[in-house]
Amino acid sequence: MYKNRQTGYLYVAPCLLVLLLVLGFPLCYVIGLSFYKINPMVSQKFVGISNYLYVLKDPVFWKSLGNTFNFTFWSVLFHLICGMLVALLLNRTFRGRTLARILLLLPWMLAYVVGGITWRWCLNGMYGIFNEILVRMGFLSQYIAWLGNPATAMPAVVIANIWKQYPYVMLMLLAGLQGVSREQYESAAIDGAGPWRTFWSITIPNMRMIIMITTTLDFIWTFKQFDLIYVMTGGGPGDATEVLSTLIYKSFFNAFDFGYASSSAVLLLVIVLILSSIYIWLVSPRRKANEE
Amino acid sequence: MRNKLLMVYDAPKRRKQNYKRIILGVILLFVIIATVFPIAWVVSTSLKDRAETFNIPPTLIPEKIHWQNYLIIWETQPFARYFLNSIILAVGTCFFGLIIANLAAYGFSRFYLRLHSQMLTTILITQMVPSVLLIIPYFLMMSKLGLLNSYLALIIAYISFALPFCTWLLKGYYDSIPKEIDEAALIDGCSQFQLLTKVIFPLTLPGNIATLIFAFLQSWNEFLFALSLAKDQTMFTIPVGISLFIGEYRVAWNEIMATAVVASLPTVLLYILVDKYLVHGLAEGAVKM
Repeated sequence: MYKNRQTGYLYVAPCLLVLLLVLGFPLCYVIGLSFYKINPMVSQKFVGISNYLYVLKDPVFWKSLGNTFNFTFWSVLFHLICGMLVALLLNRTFRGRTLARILLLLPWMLAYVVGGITWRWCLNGMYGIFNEILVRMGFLSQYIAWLGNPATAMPAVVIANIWKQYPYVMLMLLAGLQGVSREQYESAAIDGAGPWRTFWSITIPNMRMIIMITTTLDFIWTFKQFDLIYVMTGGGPGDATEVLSTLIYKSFFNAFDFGYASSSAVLLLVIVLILSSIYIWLVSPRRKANEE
Repeated sequence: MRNKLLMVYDAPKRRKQNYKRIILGVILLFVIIATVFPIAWVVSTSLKDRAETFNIPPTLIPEKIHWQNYLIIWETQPFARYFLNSIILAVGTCFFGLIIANLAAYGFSRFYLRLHSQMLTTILITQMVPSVLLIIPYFLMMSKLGLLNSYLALIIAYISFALPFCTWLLKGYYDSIPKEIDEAALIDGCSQFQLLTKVIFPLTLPGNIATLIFAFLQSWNEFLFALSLAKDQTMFTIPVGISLFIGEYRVAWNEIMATAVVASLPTVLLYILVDKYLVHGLAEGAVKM
């Protein structure tokens, strides 16, 4: 029955056809668009790569690209650190474990928009609780407008994103931790290895694959993050938190610069595809076979 | 008897272990409080009256519980409409997405096709395409077709992310069903299509329900497509409604927070419902957010 290929194609055809329509065609459309100079409703003219040159010469593009990497790097780093620490704490048996797990997953369950307004309110310069806590603990002498100040806006957005997404990394790593065999820990304990040594010599090597896969996925998804930043700062103040997604959105919907929007979107796609190919390479069965 | 002796012998070690447990427990409690705190403050704000939200320093627990916010939000904003829109879009996306994804998952799981792994990898990569890139062609195409501000346009856009991950997730569930079952059913005179609808599909029902909930949640929480393709208030979804709430001249944080709570409750309940499938979904690389 499995030799009957033709029937098989019938089953997958609708899926492939729909994907071609809703993804393949729009992708080609936007790539095509990036080679045209368009004056909405008036004219369009083929201009070759001049849109790309225009984008690459624009300092705002480079600023946004830098911000995107900045935002992504710090977010992913702290997702990994917090996720690992909390996963280790949860990887034991104790009463109320399921409840603890669900409570810790709450931020991740919320929509990005909800996470964004939550933090916008917590970080409010006048009435926000975050300032009050920091002042009471003695870290701050007075309230500051976190999202209104170019120096603090990016750290604030990163903190919100760490809070929102570390539970996802925690969940992945927890699944990985549960796959490490008990015998290895037992024999390490017999050999007199302390917790620190056990962590670096047994936990980390066993978890290498899952850490790399999770980090790569997290990097890709954080790199194209739009909702959180749009809701919290809209890219501002100035261009302090402008990332590629918000820049592209604004150049399309606010400035109607179709050439700029589509060519910078294609550049974003190229970066994301390079990152994705790392992911694909990591999960490819052939590589896994070599590893073993 | 022997166990008891061992326990006495191990007493100092056990006491040390107990200390360790308590310390780790305290750290965990601290982490939980830090994580849940912003949410707790949202809930607290949603129960204050408007004047109290502007207290300096802010109050942690409302002085007087003000439940009215949860009623007012349905009147000051067309939130019932936003809810309805979100539900229609999520249901539509799940309906079309799941039918097509089930067929494809069965095909990929049961037949060895030409370019089999290449096709699957392509489907996986489509999940990486940034939404902000897609809104450009979608917006231009939909406005040419006169579909802006329509459910159809948004369902088409949502299918672009729902279909790939539903297919991947479901393929995992179909793969976990032994092929001997197919053989037995075919010998009993089942047709290939009956095999899917009458034998295999019922077996994947738990997986299908989990996938349905994930697809529902992703559509429910989606923001960028809804923001770009719905330009009229009657077509807004909940996330768009919430985001625009802040931009208004009369910022009522208590009402915004009440809305956020109402919008999030179904999400959290559904997540808890699929809790045991979460890790499987994550392992398939299908559940993002």
